[in-house]
Amino acid sequence: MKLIGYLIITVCVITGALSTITAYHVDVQKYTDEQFKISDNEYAHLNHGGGLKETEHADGTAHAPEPLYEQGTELTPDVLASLREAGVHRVRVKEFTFARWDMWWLFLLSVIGLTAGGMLVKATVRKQIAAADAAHAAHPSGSPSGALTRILEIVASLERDLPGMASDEDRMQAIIDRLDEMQKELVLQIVEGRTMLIGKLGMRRFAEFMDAFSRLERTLNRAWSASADGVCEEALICLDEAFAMTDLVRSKLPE
Amino acid sequence: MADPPTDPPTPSDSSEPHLAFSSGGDRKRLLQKSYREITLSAFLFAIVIGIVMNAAITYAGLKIGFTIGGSAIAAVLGFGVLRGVLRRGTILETNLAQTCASAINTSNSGIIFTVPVLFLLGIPLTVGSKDFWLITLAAVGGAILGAAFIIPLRKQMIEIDRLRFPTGMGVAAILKSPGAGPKKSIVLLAGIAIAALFYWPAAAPALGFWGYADIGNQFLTNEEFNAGGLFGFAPQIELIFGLAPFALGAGYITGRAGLLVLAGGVLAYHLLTPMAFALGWMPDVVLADPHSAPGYGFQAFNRPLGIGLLLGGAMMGILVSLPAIKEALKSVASAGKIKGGGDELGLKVLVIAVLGAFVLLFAAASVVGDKPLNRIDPVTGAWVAEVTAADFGDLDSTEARKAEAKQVNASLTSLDTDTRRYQGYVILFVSAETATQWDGWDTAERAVFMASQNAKPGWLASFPPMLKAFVIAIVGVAWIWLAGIIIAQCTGMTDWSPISGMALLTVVLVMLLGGTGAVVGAVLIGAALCVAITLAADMMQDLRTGHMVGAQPKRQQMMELIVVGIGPLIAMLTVLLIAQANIKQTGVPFGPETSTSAPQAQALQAVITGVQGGEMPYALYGFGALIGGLLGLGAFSGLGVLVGLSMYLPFEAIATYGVGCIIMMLVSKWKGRVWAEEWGVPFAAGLIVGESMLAMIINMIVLGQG
Repeated sequence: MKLIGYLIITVCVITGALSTITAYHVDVQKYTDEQFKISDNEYAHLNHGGGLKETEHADGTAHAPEPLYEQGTELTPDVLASLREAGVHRVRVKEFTFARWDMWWLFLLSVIGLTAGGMLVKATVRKQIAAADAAHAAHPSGSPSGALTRILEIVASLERDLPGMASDEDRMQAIIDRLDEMQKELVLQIVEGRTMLIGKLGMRRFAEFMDAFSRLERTLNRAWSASADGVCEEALICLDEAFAMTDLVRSKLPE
Repeated sequence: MADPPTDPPTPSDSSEPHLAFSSGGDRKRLLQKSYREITLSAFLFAIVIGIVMNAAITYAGLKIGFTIGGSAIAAVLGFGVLRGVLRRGTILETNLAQTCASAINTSNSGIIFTVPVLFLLGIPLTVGSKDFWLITLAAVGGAILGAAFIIPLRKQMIEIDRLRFPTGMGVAAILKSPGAGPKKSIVLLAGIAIAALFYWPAAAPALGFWGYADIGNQFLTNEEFNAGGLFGFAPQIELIFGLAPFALGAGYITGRAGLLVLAGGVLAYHLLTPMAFALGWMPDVVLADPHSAPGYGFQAFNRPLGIGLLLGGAMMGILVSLPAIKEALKSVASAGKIKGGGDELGLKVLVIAVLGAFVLLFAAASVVGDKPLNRIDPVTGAWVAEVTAADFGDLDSTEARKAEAKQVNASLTSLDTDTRRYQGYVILFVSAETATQWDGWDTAERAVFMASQNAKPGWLASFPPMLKAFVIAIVGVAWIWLAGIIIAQCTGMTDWSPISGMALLTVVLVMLLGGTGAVVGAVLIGAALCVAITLAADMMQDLRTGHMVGAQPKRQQMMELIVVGIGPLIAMLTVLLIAQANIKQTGVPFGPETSTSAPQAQALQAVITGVQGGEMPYALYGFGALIGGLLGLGAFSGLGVLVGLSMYLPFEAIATYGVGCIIMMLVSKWKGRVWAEEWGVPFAAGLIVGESMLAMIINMIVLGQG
């Protein structure tokens, strides 16, 4: 169903955009002189050269194409008659009116199609979220919630293990190694679960969770940078700060 | 040192720092000071590099029509100087240096897209002219506005919506590479080297060296490869790849989402244009010359539709993100209540910055609003305002033109001019007598004069001048806020900033408000807006980098606000310098006759004359916005932004970018997403840096050669 939804959207974007081209490229054969009037005594104007002069060099080779009427020409009944006689179909005009837009119906259909396609995709995504949620309940390791649990475990393990390490170098290496897992995989899992999380929590609660989680993540990133720069004390302070945030972050994303 | 606890600790165990060797409030403060983040050396480095990059890239932008970002260059140079030479730069210190340097550099694109149009329209600017300083003032105001407005949205875009900001991610990869081990540094350096090698034949012809075009293949120029031509595609179907490692790298970092950008390009260049051509929905002169069809399609419908889609998509994105924006604002507001201010700049600081910038914008708009419409007396036809040599194009030699201009300007000083207000414009006369004659003219006579000045009355024509300036400044501020969000969203999702599209809309908006003759006012607000939105996008990229390396947002935001005003001044002075050099050499400030043709300004000039001539396809913008908004109804609210953006970018840029996206997807499939991010992003960052640095070095050499 999702694929059908996207197909509808794709087709409707193409037809919708295509139909708008005729909003300003008007068929002079189809519309009457009256329909080109923009006021009592003024007609629409060309916004690009209209028609084509049939000109050749003496040796029979063609000139660069030249228009019959230049940009800005008012489309008076005489000009229109001349264009029609020359077999011209479309000219580009400056002024838009629904009355001269022959493909408006296609645009309308496309708008309806886009709305329907969008709704279909949304409904399908909702179903997929529910299914993914159920799957993650059975196997939480790959879910955003599972990833968060793992991040919190890493923070706790660092708090637990670092004081027992022999040197600052060991501590900094441990921080870099363990936070690497968070930076490379776990944050990605949470970010990729965005749609699912929004479906589950709603936008407001999702925003609250991401606000808290991002603060934790940034603090851990700082710990990583400080370790990489060899400033162990700063890294440890950051870990302490991150550790103090873990309860709040956990509370924002229920299992 | 305490023994390690046997059970995992819990956060509620203690409110004090848990790790035994980091306890103690005094020590904590002391240690935080010891981790270098804001330092004088980083600040001075940023100012110098920012100014150099700004001048060099301003020159390049005037020459080739687009600019390059400075973040990646500054990050690499920052490491080289702060860590390599001074032996002290930390990741966060270098991050702050690149934040400031790129803030100084970035404003140049806003200036070069707008200000040269005044020269092209024959409106003189000199270092002694009031207009020059007003525009500079407005641009500085715009810079502050751009930085201030976007600060509260950091949380929403970076932390909640998790937009990727590919350059920001690339810069983070650069900053982290030494700490991530030597292998990653090698990957980064390999990316830089490959990009420089690949880009050399594209850029070196500017110095007279061999380039891709010298291979002699008709489908290969120094800038692009015409694959469509090689494969025998019809001329109305463009399939061109830009020779740009930067676009490849940005595409790679964007990944799968970038394919939607490619889709928009395919829609515009491979479906709409060829279909309109095949159906005969183009003027006959275009149908007779298929080679002109892509250019015609771009200008007649793809660009307006694309900008419309972008606007509609962005509005839908904002609508859907309102709860996240509300949450972000709540969070920022609460920062002000925390002792010490928390990690965000509080809303108070932002309110002050916004008010200050509004006052600057209002002052500039009110002074420009009083600027006379005409340079020739309506009654006598004599010059009443300053002229340049370009105003005497009918004279044979440059010397003759200059002499004539000098003579006219000298005669102006003895005039006892008078003014009248008409349809919201100030009309200047050589004397009170001619002004009195004007008073006796009927509406038809005046209409002829106003038509000769392309001056239709604006929507605010009946407003008193101060109120008009106030409304324009309010609309300008509101529009800058909206456009800043749109641009930041685009940059966050794709790395492209549709500045030219926003500049176009701004100029149209101001001309509709102030009247089609209010060109200086339109360019003034346009310059302020362009500077603001480029800075908004740049700041978001830098804050994204900051998030990834653990920088404190407040410090980055403060530093950016401190230096942000320098950029517009440098860019304005560089533009002026180049214009004066061009006038000296060729008699004209910019344009095809000079080596700095200012292509973006030429495009904006076409838009201004288009508005004056009533040629803007407003309905297409509206239809595009509707499609763009509806596209966001599905699973991804920003879809319209991605598709719309690519509809009006040159296909050669998005094609190469799309290749980068596809490579990322293939690598992810082959080696896994984690591997693709871990090793691919530093390489892609190297591609961005390699091209940017080489381009800047070559530009500096060319600029130095004069």
